[in-house]
Amino acid sequence: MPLPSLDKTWNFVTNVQLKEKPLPTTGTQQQGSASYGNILYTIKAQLVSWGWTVEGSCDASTYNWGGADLWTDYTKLLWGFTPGDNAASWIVLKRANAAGAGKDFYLLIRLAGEITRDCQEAIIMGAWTAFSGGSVTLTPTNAGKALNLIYDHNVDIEVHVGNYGPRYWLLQPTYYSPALPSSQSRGIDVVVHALRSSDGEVERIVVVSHNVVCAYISFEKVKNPTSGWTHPFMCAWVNRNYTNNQSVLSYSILNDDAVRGSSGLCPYTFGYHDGLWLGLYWGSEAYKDAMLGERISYYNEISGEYTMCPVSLISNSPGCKGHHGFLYDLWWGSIETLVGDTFPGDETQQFVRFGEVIFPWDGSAPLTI
Amino acid sequence: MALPTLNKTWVFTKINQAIKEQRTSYAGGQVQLYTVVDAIRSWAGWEVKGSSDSVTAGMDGVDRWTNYTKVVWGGNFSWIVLRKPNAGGAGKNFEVMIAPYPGNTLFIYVYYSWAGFTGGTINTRPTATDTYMMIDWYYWRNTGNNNNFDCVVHSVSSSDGNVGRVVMLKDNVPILYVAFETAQNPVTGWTHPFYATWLWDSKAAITLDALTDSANVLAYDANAPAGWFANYLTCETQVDATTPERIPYRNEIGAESPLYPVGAISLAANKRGRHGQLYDLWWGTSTRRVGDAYPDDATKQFLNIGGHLVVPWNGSAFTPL
Repeated sequence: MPLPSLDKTWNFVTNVQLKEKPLPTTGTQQQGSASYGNILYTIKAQLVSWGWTVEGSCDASTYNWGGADLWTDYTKLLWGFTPGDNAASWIVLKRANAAGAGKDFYLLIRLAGEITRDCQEAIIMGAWTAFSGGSVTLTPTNAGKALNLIYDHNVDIEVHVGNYGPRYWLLQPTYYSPALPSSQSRGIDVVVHALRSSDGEVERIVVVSHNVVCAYISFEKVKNPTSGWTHPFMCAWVNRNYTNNQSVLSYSILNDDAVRGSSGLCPYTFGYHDGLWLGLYWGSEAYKDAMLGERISYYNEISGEYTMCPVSLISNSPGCKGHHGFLYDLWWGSIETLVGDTFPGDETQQFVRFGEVIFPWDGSAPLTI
Repeated sequence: MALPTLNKTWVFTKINQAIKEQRTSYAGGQVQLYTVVDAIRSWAGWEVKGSSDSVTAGMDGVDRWTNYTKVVWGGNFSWIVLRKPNAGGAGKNFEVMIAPYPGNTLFIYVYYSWAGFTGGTINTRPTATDTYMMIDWYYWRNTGNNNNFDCVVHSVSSSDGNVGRVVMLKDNVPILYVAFETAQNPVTGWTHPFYATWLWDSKAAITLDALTDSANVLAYDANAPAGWFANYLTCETQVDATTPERIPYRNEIGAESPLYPVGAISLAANKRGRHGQLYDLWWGTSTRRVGDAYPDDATKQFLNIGGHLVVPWNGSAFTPL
């Protein structure tokens, strides 16, 4: 299969290495909080550089809704260890006109952990109406239907709506092999890669640690959306896998619900239509019950090329079932290739594999630690 | 999902060919086989390389199948070789030899060749050095031991003749699907990017599930080791079900009945991979029936022709049977 043509032109901020920070910022923070705070700070800074605006913020000492960004550096990102009671940093960002004129998307991040002293947890919510309220000790809320983007994914999508429960915002260290230390003892080294289409419609952030994609953040318009979709836009903060050393960008997480709980209705990426949130699975060309990149994990024996299949979006959510479009410039790859592999196999490195998904690339050598 | 854009222009002169039960079972088989062959040879650029009507024969470019009575089973028998020049690229001519089997009027031979058939008399079939035996004296459509029944044949072909498809329906069920077509977006290096399908549902049911579950689409590649290889058809899928099966109804947001492109994949040794897709062919949802049109209005731009396969259509009324 020849290399695909791109739908968009892309801007890249790649290979941003975030080394472990040595000490916590205050006595109440975990040993690893500075590192994890630095990762979230970097993500916030990247979104703001792309034009997201700060609607409100809190540095665990003060808060405001006047648009001032109190997250001035990573030391302002402090966790509260019991939701609703202890002081914790938060921020609300807005992406104007994300799904079209007047359709603004809001992102809330609050550094709260349900499990005592675990800065790998947070509250991350998405909404199409503004957040308000909150304080140094309270989470801002949303009168509309805010969706928890990272809540426990073996339950129905309906449980995610209005659920402000904190959950892991990136892959737990226990899913690495050998297991990485928990945030109670130390931080983590990661590399951050950010891609944004030149028209601003597609924004993607990949966080990699130890050759495993440990978080994938995406806010993007949908390609060829089904007619009538009021908000043809996908939002995602993918943070899970259930197999050691498996990236969160995988067939099993994004296409296959076999790893889910009894409900089987909850994917990891989301859309919104006419007041309803919908879960979006990532479809692929397949035969029988395996996607092409899984079934034919090796290179094509006639052409010598690896297969790249477009990523489609499918929803099983009540009232919104159907095929709803594709993702721009994103493809399923072969499970045989490795994280960080580039395509073609020459110095041009026009595409890169993160997890089991292939992205456009800027020709540089990708770092995955 | 908006209606798809066509890659080719299409010819519809051989649709809605109703075939009535004949006075004899033998005549029923004659008429049906003649109609299918007639559809194939009508596709743009296709030639009759040679033929036999059981009285005279020759690989001489003469088409002796002038009517159904020339399709003869017996000690002296009919055969015909149809050729599509340059089907697999310049100088790569695809040939299909079709011949009644002398010992049983329910059976025929269907052989393919890229090297080209030669010879053949009124009582010997033509041969080729690279024959693929698609049907080797066996049933050619699913009728059990019934050779005579009402049916309808539809043939659609691209104006360049590079894609041709025939379906035979009995009681609104597809019992035969034949397609000879150039591959769309073939992978680099494939020497003969062309698919050949002759499917009858005693071999594999003509359904989405069966066509994606069984390798019934033939192709050839001359790269060492040269040979024919079978392909499965592909479809967009989530988890363990194709989208048209998992969501077999209208899109709940757009109220459209979606159409999904058809690709082909091989697991044959030395030929493994996805090598191309099929021009202007789609899967419709599993709840749509034979003859259902897309859109569901007077334009009928696409039609479920059987087996959940949707082809371009010309808006005319569809004769299911």
